[in-house]
Amino acid sequence: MVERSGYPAVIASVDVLTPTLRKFVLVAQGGRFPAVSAGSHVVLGFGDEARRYKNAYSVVSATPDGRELSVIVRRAPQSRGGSVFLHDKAQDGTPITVLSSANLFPVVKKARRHLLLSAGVGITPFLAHARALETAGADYTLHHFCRPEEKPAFEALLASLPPARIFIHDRPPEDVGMKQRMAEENIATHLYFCGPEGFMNWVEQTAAQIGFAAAKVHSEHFFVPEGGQPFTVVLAGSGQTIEVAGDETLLEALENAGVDAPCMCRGGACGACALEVLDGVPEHRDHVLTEQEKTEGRTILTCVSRARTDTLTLNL
Amino acid sequence: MIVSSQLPFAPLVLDASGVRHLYVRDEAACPLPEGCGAATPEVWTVVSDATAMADTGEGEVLLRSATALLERLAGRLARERVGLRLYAAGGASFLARVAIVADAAGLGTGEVQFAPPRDVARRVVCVHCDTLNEGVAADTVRCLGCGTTLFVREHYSRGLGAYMGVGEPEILLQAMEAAARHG
Repeated sequence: MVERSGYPAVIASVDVLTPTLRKFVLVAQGGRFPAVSAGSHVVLGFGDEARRYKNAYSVVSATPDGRELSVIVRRAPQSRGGSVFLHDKAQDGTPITVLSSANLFPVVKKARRHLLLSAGVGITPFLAHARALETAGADYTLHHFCRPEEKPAFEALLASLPPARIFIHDRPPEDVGMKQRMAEENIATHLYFCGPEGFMNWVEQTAAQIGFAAAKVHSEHFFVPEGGQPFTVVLAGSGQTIEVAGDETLLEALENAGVDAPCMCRGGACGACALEVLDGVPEHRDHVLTEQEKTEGRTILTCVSRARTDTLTLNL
Repeated sequence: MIVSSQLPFAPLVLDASGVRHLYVRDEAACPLPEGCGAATPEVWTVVSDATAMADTGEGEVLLRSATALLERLAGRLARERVGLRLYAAGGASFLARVAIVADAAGLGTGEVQFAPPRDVARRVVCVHCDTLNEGVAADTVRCLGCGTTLFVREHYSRGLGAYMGVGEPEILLQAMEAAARHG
């Protein structure tokens, strides 16, 4: 299947950072990429005859001429195969399409100070943030948390930034006094965080405990939609019935069936793909709906959520 | 939809998401925020009494003027750590000045509450000569700076802490009359 729209590109280089992390540099073919800013993600389309993937990745850097951008991808074997494809099959010259871009995690320009906390591959938006803050002469500190064996790779990635602003820890945040450091921040500080679920929960709870105002807390859940039990989706409008396989998302199943379903972040973070549920019980996996909305079960974010029942009827 | 440029006035309620609370008021008659007891805010009060001594008791600070309170507040907020919630009550002009100090210190939405003002006297900035006219209770005011009769617009500048006053300055009227005479 050929992508209907988007910006054609090829992979210009593959940089192996660790056994599970690779950096891919994309070069636009015959044009420029859409404009990106610090914190932007791109939805990439790639794959082979057997399978097409559409995955969202944070842009870690982009050239000002709009012809080159790079992303870092962690190989996630338990996911639906996109990252495995990029790690195992993608090489110099592999075609890849930038389907769309958006910034759901921008730097708050008027903030006096920025505290950036990341873990693992959650570093990716902050590579762009830190460089933008550095260029703007802003006050910021980045704390990155990773496994001991990956520390040298992250040190190399962050080497161009001033050492006084960058802290790389190979122990969990609670073991390095992160709560105390957060509590000592000036009242003007804005907090940003990105990483795996456990880390996100820790930072979210800690920020609430020390009284960070919600308007100054910014996060991006980058998590990869995982598979689950297959189920059937019925579209009330057209009467169409679509099977959702165990290793594809509801959104992918809709797209493969030629249904023009809304979407943006493809990671349960933006809410653009929300559809009304008429029958069946959704299994919510997003970070957008409130607890009340999840309990009501009238809305589903198709990019990550699945069904608890065998059939789900959508108002589409 | 009409977008109000006013400060977001609402009755004060102690915000449990904060870990420290500071309440500033320009009169001792202003009541404490709702919900005090679960946590006790530090209270700073303006008392018009030259014999007032600062730091008289536990968490209770008395100040001799609003200006003294605001200077002390600016110093405090510059050193303040994350987790503080600020509450302000008093006259419209006092609240406007608290907002300026809080904004300058980098406090944001959810960190400051303003009680509905205790008076209707507004600060009005003359858009022609930038003079700040204090305590304007009517809809019009003769500008202290340029003498123009200003109509007070429902347009509040949070940065200036004042409403816009717009009129037809004498010099403009003269120019228009001259133009009318000479065609």
